[in-house]
Amino acid sequence: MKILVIDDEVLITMSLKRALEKRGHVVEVANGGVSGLEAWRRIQPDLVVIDFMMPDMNADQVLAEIGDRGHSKVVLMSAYLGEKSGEKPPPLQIELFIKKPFENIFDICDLIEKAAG
Amino acid sequence: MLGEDWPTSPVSRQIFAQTLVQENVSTVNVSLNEIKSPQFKSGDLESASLIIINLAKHELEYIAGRIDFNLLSTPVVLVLNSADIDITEWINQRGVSYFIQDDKAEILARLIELSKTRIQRRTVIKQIAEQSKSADNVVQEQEEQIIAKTLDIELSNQEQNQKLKRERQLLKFLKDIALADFYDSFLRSIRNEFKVFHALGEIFLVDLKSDSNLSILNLKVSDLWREHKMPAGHANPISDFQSAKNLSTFFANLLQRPFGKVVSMHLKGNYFLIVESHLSDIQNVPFQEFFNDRQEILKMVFDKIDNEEKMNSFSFRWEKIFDFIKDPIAIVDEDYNVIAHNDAFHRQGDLRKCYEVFAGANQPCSGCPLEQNKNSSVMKNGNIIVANSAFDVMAFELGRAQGSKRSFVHTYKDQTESNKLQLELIQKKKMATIGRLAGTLSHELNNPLTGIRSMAQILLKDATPETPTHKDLVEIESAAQRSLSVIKNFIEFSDNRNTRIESTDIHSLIDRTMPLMKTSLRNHVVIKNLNADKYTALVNPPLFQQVLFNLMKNAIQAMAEKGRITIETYNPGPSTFKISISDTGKGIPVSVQTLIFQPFFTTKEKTQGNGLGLSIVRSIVESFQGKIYFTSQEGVGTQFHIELPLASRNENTSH
Repeated sequence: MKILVIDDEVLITMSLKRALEKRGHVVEVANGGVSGLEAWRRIQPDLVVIDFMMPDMNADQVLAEIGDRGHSKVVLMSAYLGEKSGEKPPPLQIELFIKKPFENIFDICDLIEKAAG
Repeated sequence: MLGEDWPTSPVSRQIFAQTLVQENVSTVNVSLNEIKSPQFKSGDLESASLIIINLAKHELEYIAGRIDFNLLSTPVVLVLNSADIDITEWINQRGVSYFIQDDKAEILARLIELSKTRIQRRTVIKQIAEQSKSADNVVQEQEEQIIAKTLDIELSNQEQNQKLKRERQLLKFLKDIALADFYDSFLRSIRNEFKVFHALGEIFLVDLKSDSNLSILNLKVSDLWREHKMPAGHANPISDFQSAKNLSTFFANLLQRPFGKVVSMHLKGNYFLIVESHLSDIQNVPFQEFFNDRQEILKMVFDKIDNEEKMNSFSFRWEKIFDFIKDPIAIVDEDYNVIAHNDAFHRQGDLRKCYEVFAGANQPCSGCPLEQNKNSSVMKNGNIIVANSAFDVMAFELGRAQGSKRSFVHTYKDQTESNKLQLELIQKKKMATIGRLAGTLSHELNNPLTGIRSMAQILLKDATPETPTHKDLVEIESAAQRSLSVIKNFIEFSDNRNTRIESTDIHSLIDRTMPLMKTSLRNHVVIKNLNADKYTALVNPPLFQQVLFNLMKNAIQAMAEKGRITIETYNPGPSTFKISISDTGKGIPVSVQTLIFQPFFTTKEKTQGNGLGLSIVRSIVESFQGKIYFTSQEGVGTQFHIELPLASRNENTSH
């Protein structure tokens, strides 16, 4: 599976890349919305794991920009959304919402794989 | 001439008579028969200036028996025609001045001479006598004048004295009555003054309030004015009173009793002084005078009293208004003595120091503005705390009071409620700020921490167990985990949007709160004895965390040096959960123990706290039907205890 991980936090993209590659996936990372958008168009990933809030572009803007996602499925992560009671992730046609911070990276990998089907 | 005519010879007699006429001397002949007659008085001889006796010798004895020549002041000339030695002795004895033996011409001349001298002397004497008499008259006249004048002076002195005495009496009366400050004392002074007239009846004041009503102040009856209905037939009582006509009948009708003569005085406006008199017409004269003398004084003093009474009733109304004001108001002098106050300040009338009366303290209230105002011209306001209430003290200067002390009006505005609201608002704002900060921080920190933790987890999989690298990675992973949980608790703590009261595991809440204070606690020993078997209570978690946080923060701040904080939980009863947080700090002074739950009360420095803590803590605990109290001993430490009702049994058995 071709997976694109977009997060401005390098340690997160690094961890996810390592963990997912160990499971036999092809993982491409981008540390910002703009570069993420470029990589998305370039590699046409099966799955995009994207952080909601990033300095250059937020996930909703990236998703709006990409328009037709083709076969790409989307998993949204956020430390900001949903941390306070009553807050809901925006309606963005996504497979999965993962709330940060996560307890265990391997559980997250399980969830991502499950979301990709 | 006594006896026979003389000179004996007709010629001589004629010459003598002529001489007498020439010399303007008159003669009177007194015959022997006349001398012998009982009508003769020897005193008549006194009027003569010269007595010539021409008698026979034997007749002389007789005459001597009738006339005592020695008693006569008039010189006596005895004429004897025949010399007789015997007679010499007689003459000597009888004091005869001259003795003529015959009527020789030269003797005549001598006699006349003698007579003339005698007359002249008499005249002189007479003149002298007259002069002296007139002098006497003058003297007497003057004496009389002097006496009259003296009398006059004496009289006027007496008058003056009387006048002085009268004026002195008036002055004394004025002094007495000037002390009167009310209608009743005014009347009392009058009665006292008038008691010298025994036959006076009642003395009272009349206020002709209207055509139908009048009031009488009669001290014999009461110290208060009494209302009366005007007797019928007095359409215009004021003019009746002013003319003082028929007033006896008026009062007899009004008071339903016989009434004596009326002496009335119009004092002022509708006010009359009425004196009932039983004096007789004669006695009445001095009384009327006495009464009139005092008229001016009475009117003057009455005017003063009337004005004062009006002022008093005016200020009485003001006092009533002050008493209606809910905020305490007091006028105090610069030594804290209460000069006046309203009911809200103090109910009883004893005027002592304001802090004694208002705060029940024995020293000025902390925060009272008086201490600085009394030495300043700019008035400052202050805040004091009295009996669990916080007051704003607004001050303004009233002026000099007795003894030229400055005096101030203090208005006390109870701020307890508004302080509470203000505190809650401040607390909410504070928590909202913390909440916003927590949101930003969590986003900034959660991402890298998540990355660190995830990376540590991945590396741990690759690392060989029991190696130093493995151990290091475990440490990194757990540090990241702790950091994340601190942020999580912090967010939970500051979540002011969560107001739900829910069944909460208090032990877990304690565990989640402690890490927030790790830095502050690192200098102290923390002992956790969570011994309660049941520890689920109905609270709002973030708020209850704030309670625990505040109490622990207070405990830490109470301990200047390394101390011990003990957190214990237990179940004092089947449905009660109790937390005790103890410190080994300096303790709460007894003097402020009753104050510590008050808004804005603080013993801390300004930089350490604003006194929000305990009043908010208490209101939060009470909102969960709990209670909070403390025990404290100076130098030993303080224990705060919170008791909460346990949630229903089902929820507590699961633990």
